[in-house]
Amino acid sequence: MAAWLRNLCLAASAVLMTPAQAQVQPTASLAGPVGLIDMPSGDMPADATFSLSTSHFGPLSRNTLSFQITPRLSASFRYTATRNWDRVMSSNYETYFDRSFDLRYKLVNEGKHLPAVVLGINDIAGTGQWASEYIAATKTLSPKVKVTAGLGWGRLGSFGAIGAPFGLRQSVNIGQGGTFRLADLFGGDVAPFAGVEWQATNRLGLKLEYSSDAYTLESDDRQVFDHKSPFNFGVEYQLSRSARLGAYYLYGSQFGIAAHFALNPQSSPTGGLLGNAPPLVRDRSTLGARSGQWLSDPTASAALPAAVSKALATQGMTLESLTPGATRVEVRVRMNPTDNAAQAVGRVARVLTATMPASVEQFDILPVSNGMALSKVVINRRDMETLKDSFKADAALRARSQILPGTAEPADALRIAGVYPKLTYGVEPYFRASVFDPDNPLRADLGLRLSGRYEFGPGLVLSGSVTQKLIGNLDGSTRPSDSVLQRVRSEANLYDKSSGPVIEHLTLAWYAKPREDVYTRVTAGYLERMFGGVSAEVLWKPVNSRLGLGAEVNYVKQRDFDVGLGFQDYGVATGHVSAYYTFKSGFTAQLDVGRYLAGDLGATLTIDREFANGWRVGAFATLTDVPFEDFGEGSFDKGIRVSIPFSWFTGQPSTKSQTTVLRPVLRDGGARLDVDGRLYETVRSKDAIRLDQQWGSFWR
Amino acid sequence: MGKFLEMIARALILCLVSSVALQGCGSPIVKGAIGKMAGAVPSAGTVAPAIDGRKRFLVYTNKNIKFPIFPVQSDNGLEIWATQDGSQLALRHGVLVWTRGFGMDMMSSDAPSAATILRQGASHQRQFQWLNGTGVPAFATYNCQTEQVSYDGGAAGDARFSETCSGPYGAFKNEYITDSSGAVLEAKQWVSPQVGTLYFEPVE
Repeated sequence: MAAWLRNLCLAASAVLMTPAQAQVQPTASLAGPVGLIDMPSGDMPADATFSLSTSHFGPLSRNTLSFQITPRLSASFRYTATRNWDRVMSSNYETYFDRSFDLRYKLVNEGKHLPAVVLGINDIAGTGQWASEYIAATKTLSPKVKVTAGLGWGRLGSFGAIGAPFGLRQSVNIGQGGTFRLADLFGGDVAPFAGVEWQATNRLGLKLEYSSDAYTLESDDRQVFDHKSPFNFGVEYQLSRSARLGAYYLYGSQFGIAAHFALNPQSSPTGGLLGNAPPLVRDRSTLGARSGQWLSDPTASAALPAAVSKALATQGMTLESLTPGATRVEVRVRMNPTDNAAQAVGRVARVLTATMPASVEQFDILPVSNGMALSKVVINRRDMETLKDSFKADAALRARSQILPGTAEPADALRIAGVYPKLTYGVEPYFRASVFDPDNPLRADLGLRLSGRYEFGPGLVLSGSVTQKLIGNLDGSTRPSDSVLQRVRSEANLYDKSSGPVIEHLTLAWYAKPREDVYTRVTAGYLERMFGGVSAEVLWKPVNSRLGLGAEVNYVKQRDFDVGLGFQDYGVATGHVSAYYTFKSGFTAQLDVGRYLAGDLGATLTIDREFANGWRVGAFATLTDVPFEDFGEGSFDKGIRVSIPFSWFTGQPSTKSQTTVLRPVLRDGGARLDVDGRLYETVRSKDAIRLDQQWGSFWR
Repeated sequence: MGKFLEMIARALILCLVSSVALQGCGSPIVKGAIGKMAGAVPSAGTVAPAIDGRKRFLVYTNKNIKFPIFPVQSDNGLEIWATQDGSQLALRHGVLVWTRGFGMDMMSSDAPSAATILRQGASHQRQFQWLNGTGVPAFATYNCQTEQVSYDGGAAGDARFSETCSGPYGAFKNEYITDSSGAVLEAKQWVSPQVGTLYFEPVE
């Protein structure tokens, strides 16, 4: 051991003396995050990198999502399957499925003499299968070679331990999980690990490591594989910019394979927006009617709304009304086809330069949704004309424009014929999946969804959707709920048994904006697949404020399992008061405090990192007065969510996004009603904060 | 082994599912006859009519594709040209100042006048504004040098210039052919690191 330590120190001193070189690309480990083969390293990927990793050796399969939350902080969520779990010890499972969550923090960035240093905690709140802590240092020796050395505790301190400097540690006792193991952190034995990465060619990489993980649980206790050696070998192939494959020989007895996929919200596959170029800005010298006389000409003023409506329709937008004036025009527009509000406002302004008589100097552009004016962007026409071809035209125009609260529709507004009432409907495929059921970790249904929407007038909407399953095995779940709470979510599988059409939702909703910064919603009907009733919400959100406050009250009854028209006996009054905040750093926070579906009282905190292009990655956790033992597996409700806008993948404008919510387990405590049309996301989508975040696209 | 493969298949499916919505996916395959569903993408409809009979070819050198382009607006030396599918670019006396619809567009730029750029030995700076991958403005300054190079083709008085620029994303080279009055007849001009160079080629 002493010789080994001496070598380690020599390697470390060589590391510290080596000048910084161009970095070898950080690559993932079998555990998912960036690292060596099975050991972590001091490397971190580029900020905001989102990665998926699947790795398999012997009886172990690991699938891991990782996200680089900030340049220094990253988190991973892992789903592990260990086969032959009942080989020598009795167990309910032949394959044991485990969920774990890791955090890593970069203490030191790599410098001329210093290595990059990362501190990590694995399986921070799970059952403890992967419970470990480490500190790892990585130094780039040459553009192609990196070396890593580190110290591990817990699982990573289980082979070749050199002492226990910070006291004892409880042995892993796989229980219901969900609670933090703070008392054990950095307790027990500590052991060194090390490794080398060599990027032999642009595509081919080789790795060698000395592992400090004895795999005691798997190798000794469960005897699912033989740990014969601490040395691991790997060869990896960079398939594309985002995909890397690996093959490994591990622990002297096992072959392994892995595939790693990395995406970065900051790097779109299309390089940017590919959609149509915008309408041209027209200079007034090419247009007539320099005085406001046209207002008194009924033919001229009546033709305006039709011309603007037609031009906006080519952009996929809907003009709801136009209020003409001699020098100012107000337009209220539904900006449907894009989630980029600034780009949409820019295109409306472009259309107005080409359609408004020359006397009109000011454009008041109001984005509207469900009849509510979400903001008012005031743009001077002269600025559009003079800035359109200039450098940094976006910032110059923003400095001369105003974003004000949305105002009520003026009495003399000219409503566009055909906007109300309006029926829209569509048929689309749907896909619904259930993950993490120990009997079958992945079940899914594929089918068709018929959805319709009838708008009686501004803000009054009847909408519904019916689905018909075509194929799938969601109905295969026979796992009975063992919940001691009211079973508001834990019997979700029973709602998947129906083979006929089911009513996902059928509601009448009324949206209004009674005061300048106040928005309201009342929704009644079949609100979601499992509950129906009445929901009322009020939101205070000034257009220029980073803070929003809201309240929601609902009375709901649980729907029948056939997702038809009937209800069960259980009814509950549920609701929350909510605070929303958008930080300048691009993070958003939401705190909801109130009564949940099972009648439990508590709070949910949600934190997201959000990008101007609509990417969101976040996590949420709910604590209520339900004791952990009553909650059951997982101890409390928590999860992560990722939302990727379609426009990022395709480069084409779209309001759709792909949202994935991953909950380790769905139980009855901390369960919230899932009502459609909650106000905050709609209201903030066109507020000054969002418009400013996207303003660079104004001229796009 | 069979179980191992089954686990791998499941894991890969899980990965795919992780990247695909659990709550629903897909775009409408049938749309309402009475109105469009929200989220529908508009069809091309922004192409302004050509203002005169001129026509050029625009060669997207990175993708090795070529399409006709027509002038749609002309104002004080700034001409906007558009392709039939609506992509646009603006030239100020032949110098590219912005593009729209090419991907990582040149949203705006600060370039000296054509007369300043197109002089033997001229050194100057160019500034570019693009949108980065998250849709936020990104800026870069390039230092450029112009050289007149030999040119045998064209009419008497025609000249050829190359403008070499280096900046944070490496180097690029623009090329111009001018007539005896100094007007740009054809040019190859760089747009952005992702789009690369567009060749503005006259129709023979």
